[in-house]
Amino acid sequence: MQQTGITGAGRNATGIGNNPNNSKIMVQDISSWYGAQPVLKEVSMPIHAKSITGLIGPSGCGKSTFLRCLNRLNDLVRSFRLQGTITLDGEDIYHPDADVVLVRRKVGMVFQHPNPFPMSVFDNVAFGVREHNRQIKKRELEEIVVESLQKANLWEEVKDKLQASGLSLSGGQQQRLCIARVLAVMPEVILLDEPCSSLDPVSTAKIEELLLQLKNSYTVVVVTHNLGQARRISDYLGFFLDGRLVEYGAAAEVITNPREKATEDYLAGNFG
Amino acid sequence: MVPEGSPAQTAVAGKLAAGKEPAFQTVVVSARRRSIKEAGIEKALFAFTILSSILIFLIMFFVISKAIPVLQANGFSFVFSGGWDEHFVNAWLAPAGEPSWRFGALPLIAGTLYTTAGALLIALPFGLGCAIFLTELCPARLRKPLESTVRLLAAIPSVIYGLVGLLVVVPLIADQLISNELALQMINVCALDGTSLLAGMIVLSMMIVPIFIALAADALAAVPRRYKEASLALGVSHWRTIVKVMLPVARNGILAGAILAAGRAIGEAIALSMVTGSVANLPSVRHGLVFFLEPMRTLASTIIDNAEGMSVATCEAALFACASFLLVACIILSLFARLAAGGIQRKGGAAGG
Repeated sequence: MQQTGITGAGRNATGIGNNPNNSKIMVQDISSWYGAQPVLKEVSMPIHAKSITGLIGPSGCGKSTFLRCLNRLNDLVRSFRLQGTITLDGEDIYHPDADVVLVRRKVGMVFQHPNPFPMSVFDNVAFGVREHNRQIKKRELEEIVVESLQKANLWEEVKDKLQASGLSLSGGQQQRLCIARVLAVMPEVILLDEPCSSLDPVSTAKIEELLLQLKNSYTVVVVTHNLGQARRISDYLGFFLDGRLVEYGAAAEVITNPREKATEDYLAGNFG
Repeated sequence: MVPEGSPAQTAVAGKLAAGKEPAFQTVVVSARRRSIKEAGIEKALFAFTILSSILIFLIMFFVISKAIPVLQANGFSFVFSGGWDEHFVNAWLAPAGEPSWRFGALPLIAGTLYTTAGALLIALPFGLGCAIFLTELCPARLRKPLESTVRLLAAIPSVIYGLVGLLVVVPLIADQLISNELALQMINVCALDGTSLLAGMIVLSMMIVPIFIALAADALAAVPRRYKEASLALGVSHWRTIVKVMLPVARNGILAGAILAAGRAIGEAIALSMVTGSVANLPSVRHGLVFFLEPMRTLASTIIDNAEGMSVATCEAALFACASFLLVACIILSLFARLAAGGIQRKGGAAGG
């Protein structure tokens, strides 16, 4: 039943690899509102497969709202409205018949503040897998959990305390646990909403290193407040201001040679 | 810290502006003045708190000491034997010189457990469903009015529930479930007229369900949003998120609500006295489903219904024995509620870190 909605077209997209012209997600002309308050204004942007797209901009510019449009998490806000289309592998995720649960399974998300469930480390990672496949064998589940923790560079730190509460880990470990939890359900896209904003520099470095590994297999979108981080990890960069996407392009291009004055000012630290 | 806009601050600001006195003196004087006043208030509140806890202990002491003669005279047979109504009449009619101390409260104690358990069995699943609907599934427009209605229901006096039970539930049971043949068959055991254990369970469940809904809904609404979002973002459906994430996180709060509802059910007197027939009959499982149709009476209802016996020392002591059982049961429940609530705090604290 969950296979309805989004199928078909996307299946072969993963084979396209590093072709920069290939977009995994296509955002076309979206505007959105909370009640009467406009948040996003006519934003269009491709999100390229197997690369990191960074989203920067001052607080309240709409970048987090934009990110939450990509997995339809804004649906939780009753007053939220959206116009325009967002396609994932060519399929409209806001289509009335689209299966929002499947969209979220394919487009995973890591939040600003680490939010592991109040369960053991193992159960945190296993939770989504069990929900998607309730008949899964114990052996198979354990393999997925271990593999996900390894991919999230957390395995070495938690292998002896899988039954400890996820909340007992440090902030940086919790955030990597959240990443492992997302990886375990095998998404195609991973959204991260300022994933390092509550972490210390060492933990931040570990997450950045991890993201650079992940982009080999996943499409990654990161909202960040940290320009240094955007510079270090992004392949593509979008600059939001006042709900508009002011500038978008290859990260190196945007950073060294911004087309817009506002981008230049922001990158120079004149506001933010 | 001097709070914004407090009299002290205004005074200091005024004097500074006028430039009459050095500021530090004013600050010290006003701080002293305020500390005397606040210390007085704090002491008074402390005294009230001590007073009310002493009062609770005095009540316990009073009730239990009054009950002791009956408990001593009967020992365990007070709990394990029946015949209350007969004993009560005997004690009431006994000549002053030779009082009758024989009482057996088994039907009352069992009746209290039956009604409470039955009411919880009906109210908890129903109430939990309502709480889930209110917090998670209800359209935004309906939520406020429905919530107010539920809270209003929790505030309705129990005698009203008793009246509704007597006018609606009891006749319904009498008409739908009790045939003349059945009543004739049971005539040597008890009268089947609709006032029954079942009526008590139904009325009691109606009474406790609103408070349980309100508390369970609060517990669900207090589940941090980050857990719900995390689960939904993993591609887990809303319903499974409720079942596997939100309910476990809210578990202690829901449990505390259930315990408070149980406390209300155990202590309820008047509504049950109206709909259960007020006979110290012990419904017997041997009668099959007729068990539910038999009249009965709880401890709390007994205290009300037999209150006129208070003028006789033995009867008075017997009623106080009933009261002490209720009191102990309620204290135990409230300790459990406290444990459950403590669980919430610990969990919340850990989750915050």
